Amino acid sequence: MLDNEEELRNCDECCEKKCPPKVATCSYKFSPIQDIEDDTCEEKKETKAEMLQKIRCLDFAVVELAEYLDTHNDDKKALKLHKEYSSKLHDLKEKYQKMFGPLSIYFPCNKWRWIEEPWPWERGNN
Amino acid sequence: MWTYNKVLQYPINIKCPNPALAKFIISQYGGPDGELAASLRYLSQRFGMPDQNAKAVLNDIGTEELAHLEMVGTIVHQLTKGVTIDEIKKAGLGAYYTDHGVDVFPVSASGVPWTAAYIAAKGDPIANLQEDLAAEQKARATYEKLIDLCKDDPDVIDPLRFLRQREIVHFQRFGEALRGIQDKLAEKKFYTTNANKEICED
Repeated sequence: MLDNEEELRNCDECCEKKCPPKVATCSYKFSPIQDIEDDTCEEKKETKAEMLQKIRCLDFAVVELAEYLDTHNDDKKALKLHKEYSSKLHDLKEKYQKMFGPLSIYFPCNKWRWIEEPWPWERGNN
Repeated sequence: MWTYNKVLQYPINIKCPNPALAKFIISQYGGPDGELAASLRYLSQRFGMPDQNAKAVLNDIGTEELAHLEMVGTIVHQLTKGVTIDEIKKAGLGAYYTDHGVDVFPVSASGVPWTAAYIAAKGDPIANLQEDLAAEQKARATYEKLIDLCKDDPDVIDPLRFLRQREIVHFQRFGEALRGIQDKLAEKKFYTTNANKEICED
């Protein structure tokens, strides 16, 4: 994305040299946005983990674009992407929270599910 | 104000506990170039920034560093969860265990507790941003050393690589913020004394 994409790619390359690829393959792709573009949540029953990973990806894209826009406030393309991803993130979070419980204390619940759901630092919950 | 989201910025699931690695990685929690120092450095400096771009960069990167602090704490926690006393002793964590058990406490790899002396807020935006640029490079270098030390565990290397990449992007953003301020300072100042005459100050 924008000027960072090249930097990120370069990092991957130099990391690849440092670590044998079979030991350190990155499970996280910077641009899983293509998957999100044609968001098929409705068609395909997604697992909790898959949905959470999409939320993480969109959240990352929004953070990255926000930091970029902080120093490139007149970049129209970045602004358009920020608008698109933040709206998708908002919708997906709403949907996830209705199905699996709150991601923040601002999500209203009939019972206090905030303390029932696991915390992100606990092994196996990511 | 901040809002907590019950999700890590990048997933961490470490299958094999390894207290020896935790002993090194904790430096990015409470060490001189760690995430606690990074977040407090930027969030403190933002108040004194002279332009809107620099304020936003420090605010937003400082916020992201808090998410990284949580990630590093998670790595340390998962590497030490459920380990035996013998494993702790063998890993050289006996002294740490004496004072903190397996809680996550901000210390460096060599056991020095976190101190505000690791950060600066100099009352000078140029000096502050130069410090931030250096801080990002030092954090990148630290993550590279940690990646070297954690070669055997891909579950640990994966989030460390993500964190290393973020240092590089943040370095770029701080550079742009610094350039913005320097350009503004280098502009010639014009004073209009009446409708027909402009005086240029060199």
